Amino acid sequence: MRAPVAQPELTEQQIERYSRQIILSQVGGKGMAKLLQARVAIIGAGGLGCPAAQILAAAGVGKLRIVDGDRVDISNLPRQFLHYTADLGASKVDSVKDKIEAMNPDVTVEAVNTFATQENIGDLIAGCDYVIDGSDNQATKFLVNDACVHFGIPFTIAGIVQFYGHIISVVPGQTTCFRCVFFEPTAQDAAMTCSGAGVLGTASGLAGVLQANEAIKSILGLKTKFTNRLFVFDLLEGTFEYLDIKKHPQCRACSNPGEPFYRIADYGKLPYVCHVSNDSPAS
Amino acid sequence: MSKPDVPEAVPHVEKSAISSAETIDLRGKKCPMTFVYTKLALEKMQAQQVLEVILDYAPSFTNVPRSLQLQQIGEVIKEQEETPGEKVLWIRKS
Repeated sequence: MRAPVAQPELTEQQIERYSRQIILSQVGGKGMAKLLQARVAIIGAGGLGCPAAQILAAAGVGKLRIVDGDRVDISNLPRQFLHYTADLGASKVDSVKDKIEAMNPDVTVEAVNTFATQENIGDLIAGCDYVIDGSDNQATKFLVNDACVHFGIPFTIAGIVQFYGHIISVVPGQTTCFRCVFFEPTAQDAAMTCSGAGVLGTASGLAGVLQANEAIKSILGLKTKFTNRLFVFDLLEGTFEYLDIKKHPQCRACSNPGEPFYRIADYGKLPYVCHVSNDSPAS
Repeated sequence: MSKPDVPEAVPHVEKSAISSAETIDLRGKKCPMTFVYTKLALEKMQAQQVLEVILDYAPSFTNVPRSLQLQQIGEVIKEQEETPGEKVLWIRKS
């Protein structure tokens, strides 16, 4: 009787579960092992974070750190796909943890029930292979950018409203950062937030899925493609475009990444808490 | 029943490589798992080492070599039916 070759890294069940990924020439058993060992932080468990977490968990990214201090509101449900009607009032991170643990036992979720701040961001992204910004405000996006640039963790930032979205991926030390392009947070225009201007789940869903794709590619050692250019989509007109962007030589975040600019930058009011419903409790 | 393939058809094959080949028994497995297990086994081997794969799912007899070729991860250097309905492939890792 000829003995089968042992597969110590992956269990039989994992080989079956991830077989369609293992088949990919860019993944294989070694790539699958990388995904299972990887840790990704997702800042925000909302319209971007839910689809991103769902894709990463299903794909077998082994450790997800989900960060959000908010609770599930009924107005979240059309686009924040991991929160169900029964979760109303529950913390978003606990809601995500429950769904993901039910979906894939290979994934460990660290549910961090807080908002990102200058004080805690270092701890929130520590030990992560990749960071996904799924926040709903500019200040947090700049904070994630500045901290990830300083700590050298690759990341992606997306923004969405109505039918529109944009995504940028950054490889610190190599590619254009978010601050190179957008410079400083501007005063948040309430009329142009998701609660003020509206949003469709297709826009946030697409952006979140694309962010997960960038994370998976980065973990696998593949080149991320939303770098040095901004991917911009308009789902009303059906247009998908790239805007070339260049490093700003005096960028306060990435021109001198050794300095922890995120500690001294002015982000306005952080933590940023956006209650999207009049029925929500006061902050 | 004559053997479909004989070593003489691929004269560059070293008999020692074949005799020392690692073996995986994939009888009972179907596509695409036959390719998945073959690929995983090859990943653990050095280039030019030979893997012996036993199959009993007929579509895999052609699908496995085809997928190996498409991904350029190995080449079938010998194949034969030892038992009716079963095929053994010897695959050299690229």
